[in-house]
Amino acid sequence: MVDRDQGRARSDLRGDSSTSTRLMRDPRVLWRRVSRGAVLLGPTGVTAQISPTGVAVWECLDEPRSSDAVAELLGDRFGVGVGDVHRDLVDTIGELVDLGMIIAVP
Amino acid sequence: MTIPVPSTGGDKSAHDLMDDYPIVVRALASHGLKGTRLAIPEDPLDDRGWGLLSSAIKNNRLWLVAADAVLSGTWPATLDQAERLFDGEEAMVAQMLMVERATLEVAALLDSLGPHGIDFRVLKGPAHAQILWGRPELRAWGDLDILVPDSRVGVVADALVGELGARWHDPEPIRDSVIRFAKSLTFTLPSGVEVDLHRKVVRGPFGEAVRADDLWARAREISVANGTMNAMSAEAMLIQSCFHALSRDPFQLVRLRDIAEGCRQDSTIDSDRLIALARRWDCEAVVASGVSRAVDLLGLEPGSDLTRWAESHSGSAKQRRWMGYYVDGPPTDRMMLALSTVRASRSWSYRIAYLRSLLFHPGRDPITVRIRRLLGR
Repeated sequence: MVDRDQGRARSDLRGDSSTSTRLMRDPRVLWRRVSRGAVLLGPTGVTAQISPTGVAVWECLDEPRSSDAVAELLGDRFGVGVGDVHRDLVDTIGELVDLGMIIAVP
Repeated sequence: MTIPVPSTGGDKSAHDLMDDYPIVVRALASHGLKGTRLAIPEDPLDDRGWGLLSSAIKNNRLWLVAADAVLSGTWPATLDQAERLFDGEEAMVAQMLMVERATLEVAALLDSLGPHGIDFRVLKGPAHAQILWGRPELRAWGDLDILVPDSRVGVVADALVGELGARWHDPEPIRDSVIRFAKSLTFTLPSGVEVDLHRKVVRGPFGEAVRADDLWARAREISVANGTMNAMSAEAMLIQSCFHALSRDPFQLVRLRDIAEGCRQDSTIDSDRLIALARRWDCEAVVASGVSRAVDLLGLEPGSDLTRWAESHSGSAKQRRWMGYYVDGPPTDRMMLALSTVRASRSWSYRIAYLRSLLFHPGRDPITVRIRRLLGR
């Protein structure tokens, strides 16, 4: 079930379907801020380093949100258009979904 | 560019350490420490100076202190130096996260043992960061240290191996001897995280003098990953750091920084309680020496109650003699450490059992080997 949701999340992010899937951080991920962003430790022991922009995305996913909602939040925060934010968002979220740091929730 | 560091007394070992750690290293190690008076360089270090500093950062796990110093603009660095520091910081933080996860795993194991679980205290690392340090985010750690009740060490050791698949570093056939007498047992979890399972906070005669009940009194709550756990009292933590500062074990600057953090004017340490505990544990000389060395090396303003006490106390002759055995000197010192451990223990049955273990168990410990050789065994 989780795998199917993850697959749907990736598919949504690529624009294959709607972007209505809600995403959130896997609560088992441990993380800490560092000088160049943050370091994440996933539940399987995989580590990832994310940039300050990635940290902003990560912080938005403390509760379930669609990628559109995240784009809106970040657009407001940084004063840029939602479309521009969404393009950057796809890669960041896609990588974190692939690493199992972000999960799709019903 | 640098200012002289005031000395607080005639502690020769402090001056030895000053030779080991040039002022530029000590200045970085004291970054973020309130009340320090060490000056920092005005320009980025050249390659030779940077190489020296990098080694000290690595050997003392000062990555977080150094990265913060550079990022805040306090410490001058070239772009290349900064990038290398940040690489090291990220690797250090990844290791810390792995240790935090291992801590949760071990805590869950301890909770599952017996009808009520086994009580434990998190030692050093996150405990010192959160209780002693003014800025906890600067203190790094690379392994997990936990204290369990003396009588449960064997049970926990077996569970670490049996339930979590840990590899125990202390080999058979001295298992029983290690469980009963060693200060700590070392394991490596399948994740690669090292776990030090402590039954004492220091080896040797001081380990015998420490009252076990005091280690469990006045627990302080700390948060590790997403959990809440208990650590020892702040005063017991500071004394443990002073014990570690006795010998030239790794991470010496972090040990001294732990002590210096406890000597800050606004530290949470209760000086009266700390001094009373040091007296009860027969280790005033150790605490006075540790505090003086930390103040000297990290250039701390010596104005707190604790630093004033340290300036005027040197402990008893017995304590100073014991301290001498902890420095890795000639084999006779290690033998004296073992013999003074026997003399310091309170129970005759324990003394006899300890001596029997030294003499009859085929351990690889150099003290044991030496004693057996002397006795022609």
